[in-house]
Order: sequence, then C-alpha cells, then structure tokens
Amino acid sequence: MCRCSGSRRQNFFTDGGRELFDCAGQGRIDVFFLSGGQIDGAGNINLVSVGDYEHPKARFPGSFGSSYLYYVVPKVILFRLEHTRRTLVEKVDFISAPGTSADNVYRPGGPIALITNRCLFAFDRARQALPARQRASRAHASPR
Amino acid sequence: MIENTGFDFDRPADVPVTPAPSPRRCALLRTVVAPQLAEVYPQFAAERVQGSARSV
Repeated sequence: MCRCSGSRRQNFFTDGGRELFDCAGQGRIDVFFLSGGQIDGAGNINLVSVGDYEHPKARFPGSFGSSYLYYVVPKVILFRLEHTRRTLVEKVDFISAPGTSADNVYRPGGPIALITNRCLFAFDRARQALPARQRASRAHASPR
Repeated sequence: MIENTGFDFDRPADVPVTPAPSPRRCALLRTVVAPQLAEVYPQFAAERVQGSARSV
C-alpha cells in the first residue's frame, strides 16, 4: 500500500487510503479538498490530461480516488492557486469527477466552494439542472 | 476576475472582501499549527505558513 513519509503522530489512519475510503463511504468524512489541472463552472475536475486524450498537451498523474470521494464526502472544497483561463475553463477536456449528478444517482457528496489565489467561489448545488455556474461570493483579502 | 476565469459565474453588485485573519489567528497558525503540519507537509508548511510570516 501507499507508503508516505508523513507523520504517524499527526495522522490517525494507520493503513493509508483504504481507511480514508472506508470512512468516507460510512459518511464519517465531512470535508475533503480536491484540485484539478482544469476545473470548470459545473464543478467538473480534470486530473487526467489536457487536449486530445490520445495526444495530450499535458498529462497529469490521474483521477485516483477523486471521483469516489467527490460522490460521498458532503463538503468538497476545490482549490487551485493558479486562477487563469488555462486552469478555470468553460468545459474540462476530461472529466475525472463530475460536479453534479442526475437526481436518480445516490450522491450525498459534491463541491461547495472553489478557492483560488484571487477569490472564493460558492457552488450552488440547487442550480445543477441549469447550466451550472458559480457565484463569486468573496474577493480574496489581498488585492492583486 | 472575469478576465482570468474561463467560465461564467454569478456575482453580487458588491463582491464582499474576505476579512484578513486576526493577528491572534496568524500567530496560532505559525506557532502551534505549522510545526504539526510540517510533519505531514514539510514543504507546504515552510513555504506557505512559516514563509508567509516572513513576507507579511
């Protein structure tokens, strides 16, 4: 399994990702943070590649457990320090994990916010049926 | 913000500014939290938490 150089004292999991995923499935993880090479206004995240899938312009490490955690953790906070049109796109090139799902899909989890180095967006889950958009709720404290 | 964002988003007429953290909270992050965080994420703690103490 995953061997990290991290702290035993500061991490109550003893068996890495397996325990995290079990806890998440049991509803015992309230908040989780996810990012992406690209993030779009519908809350979709891309952790796979940019450009044509067969001939990508950039290849990222991969989706790993992001889609599962996005579905089961109630409050997922998206973060991306680089706030540009390159990273915050209209539509991601590959959906590692979708921001919302159809009403008949069991999905207690999903995004509540996206924070960047410029601002904090709140995600409005009630509008998922509409063209999903995000609402700038707060500008970052430090002006750029 | 609009120039740098590739998707549409709603925004209020007056976008509120997030209050800066209080000196007490900053001190707590840098003296109590950062050393514990450094055990798990040493680079992040050094650059983003303790490093920010120098730049502020």
